[in-house]
Amino acid sequence: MKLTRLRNVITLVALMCFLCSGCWDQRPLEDLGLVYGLGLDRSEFNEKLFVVTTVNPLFADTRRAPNEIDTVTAPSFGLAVERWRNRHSRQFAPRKLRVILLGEDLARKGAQDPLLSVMQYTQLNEHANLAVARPRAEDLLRVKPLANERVATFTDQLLRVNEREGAAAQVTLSEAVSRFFAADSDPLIPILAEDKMGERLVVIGSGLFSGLTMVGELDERETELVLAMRGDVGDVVYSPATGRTDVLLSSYPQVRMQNPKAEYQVDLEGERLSVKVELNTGFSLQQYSSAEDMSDLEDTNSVAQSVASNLTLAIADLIAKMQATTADPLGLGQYVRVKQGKDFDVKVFREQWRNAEVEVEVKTTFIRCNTMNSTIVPPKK
Amino acid sequence: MAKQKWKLTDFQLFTLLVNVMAGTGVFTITRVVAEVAGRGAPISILLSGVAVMVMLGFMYLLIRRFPGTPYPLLVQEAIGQWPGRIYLLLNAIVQIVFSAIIAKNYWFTLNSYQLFSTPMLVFVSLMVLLGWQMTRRGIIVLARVSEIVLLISLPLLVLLLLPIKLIRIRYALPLFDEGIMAVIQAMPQSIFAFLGFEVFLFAAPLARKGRSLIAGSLAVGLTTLSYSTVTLLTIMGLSVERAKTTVYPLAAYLGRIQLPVVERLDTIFMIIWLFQVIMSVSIPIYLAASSLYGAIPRLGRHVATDICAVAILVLAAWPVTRPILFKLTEPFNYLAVFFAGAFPVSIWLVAMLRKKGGKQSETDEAA
Repeated sequence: MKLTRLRNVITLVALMCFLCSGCWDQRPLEDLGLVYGLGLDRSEFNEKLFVVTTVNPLFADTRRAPNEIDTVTAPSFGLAVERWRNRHSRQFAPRKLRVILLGEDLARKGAQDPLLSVMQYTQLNEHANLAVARPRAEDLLRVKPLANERVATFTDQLLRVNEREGAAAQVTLSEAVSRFFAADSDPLIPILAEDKMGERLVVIGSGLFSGLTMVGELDERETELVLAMRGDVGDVVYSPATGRTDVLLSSYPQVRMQNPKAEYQVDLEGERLSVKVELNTGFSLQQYSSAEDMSDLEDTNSVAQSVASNLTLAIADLIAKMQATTADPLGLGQYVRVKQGKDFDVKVFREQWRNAEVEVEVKTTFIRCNTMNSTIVPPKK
Repeated sequence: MAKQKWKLTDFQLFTLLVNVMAGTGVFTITRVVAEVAGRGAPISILLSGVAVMVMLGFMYLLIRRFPGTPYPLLVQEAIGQWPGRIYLLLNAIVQIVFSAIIAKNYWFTLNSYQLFSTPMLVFVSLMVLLGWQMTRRGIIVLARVSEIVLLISLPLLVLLLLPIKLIRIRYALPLFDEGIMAVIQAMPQSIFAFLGFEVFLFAAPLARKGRSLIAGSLAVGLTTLSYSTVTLLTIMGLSVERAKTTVYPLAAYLGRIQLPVVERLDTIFMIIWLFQVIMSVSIPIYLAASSLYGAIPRLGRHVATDICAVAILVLAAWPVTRPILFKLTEPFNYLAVFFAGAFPVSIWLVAMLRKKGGKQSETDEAA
């Protein structure tokens, strides 16, 4: 055989081998243990052990239930996966992972170890939504949302819808871990629980985190305010706790904040941190049935002032809560880091944040009342 | 060794340089440079690009002194036959190791994300075989393939901008958090990513006269811009602290995007980037073969190419783990930078001292 022909044959064989990678690397669906929901808890009996709950979809022919839920207990996430593999003789495939639930106990004692272990899987879907499960992830993942609805898909949708409506933050695993490493802002992770009937999962608020350790919690109203202050959402429904004022005659008017934008002025003098928060927002009044004529400029200004002072108080309370727990979901640490550079120390910053002097200013612009059909636009100044 | 009759176009020279420089480094450069320079990594890469341009300038001075002379002949004329041949032999070894490292590195990258069961030898041998085939057909074939590959890989840079909505500008601030000295200290780490630019020495004498320096500088400029953009976006996407702890930060950055059609941007990028990496493996094979042929002319060009390809294959097939490869690569990189930077300058100085070249250049220009 001539050398040229030999060379061509060798190259052709090599090319064929390479094309065979489609065969070698094929992963038949039947051999995959598709994990699309993951629950992480601390063992109730031994704090050193983790309880890893996996949710796998079942195929149509074997399907008596929408999911197959399995629980493995091990000292680390990696070992739990090994045990899971031994038990199932299938590949652990978290590429379509939709949601990771952290048991509240684990979240409060620090979730960095299992979460960083999960991140080691290059085949992992880093966009999986993260949520805190109350009381335990293991229990919540066993709740059947609807007859044939899969719990992980339902939870994922629930978190997405809440985020779109400005009711809860949507935090992916990737984002939470990035924030943890950067250490200059903390994630705000939704808390899930069963409803009173024990049939569905609902978002009941958000967990305040310091790093990846849950240090406190916010109710739904507070969560909405934080989202507005972070500028994450353009439309936030906010129900003032003290709705009854001289001007606002309705019992519980809703304030719909539109395009809220907060600006932060962070100053550091020695060890003393001072923060000025300025929130600018437009607002409309929902469920409003006042006898006052809102086409009067004086009344409009009065309502705007009332809403502004209400928001100021609420934000001040909220910030005090964050300071008490040293959580920084607003990302003020980033401002300090920009100023300090290499000298930025997250522990020192948290102490500074705890003792920081905070000034809150809210500026509101009245847009309209009620729904579109009965809109009363404010008079021009 | 006869002089070539045909000439490379400026664009071909440009594509050769870009293809050899932009290889596997793009996946790891953020981690490697950020470990030293912190948030100053993009600045460090920009400075390294400038340093590479200066080296390129010296290479141009050397080549201009011996116009139209292929580099292996040029070296022997400049510093003497035997010193020249020893240098060429060492250069061949450096290029062989360099090519094997690139092939192996990309294997590890793909193996982490996609090719879990494909034997490493099959993957690596395919890249080496393609390089071998192209090299045997000469630099003009390499250059033409480079042109096509660049047209495939350039649009990939647009993919990098897809996750831009998810970035945080504050992650990149302050730029000099580790200090200016750290930015300078990180320069050698970033120069590693430019390795292979010594192809200019071999290709520029074969290019049409006049604008080879401009083509080379543009190639280095584009690569510098790509590397610094990738680094900046990755830092803003992941935070510098996470980028430092991630083996392939670019893949993690690209993995952040999730669109209905483009679900795994990292995988798409890696598959298309394979063409670019094949060129990064192939061009050093050409450099190694040319050097070996220059050092031992009686081998013949084809035999020299065969020897280099087999050597690369053997080295790449050597079973080392990824951490060991990373450890072994670091001292080699310093050696390679020395070869690419210090040697051409030294050869140019020796040629000046020995009063070699130059005159002919004037005669040529007059002609």
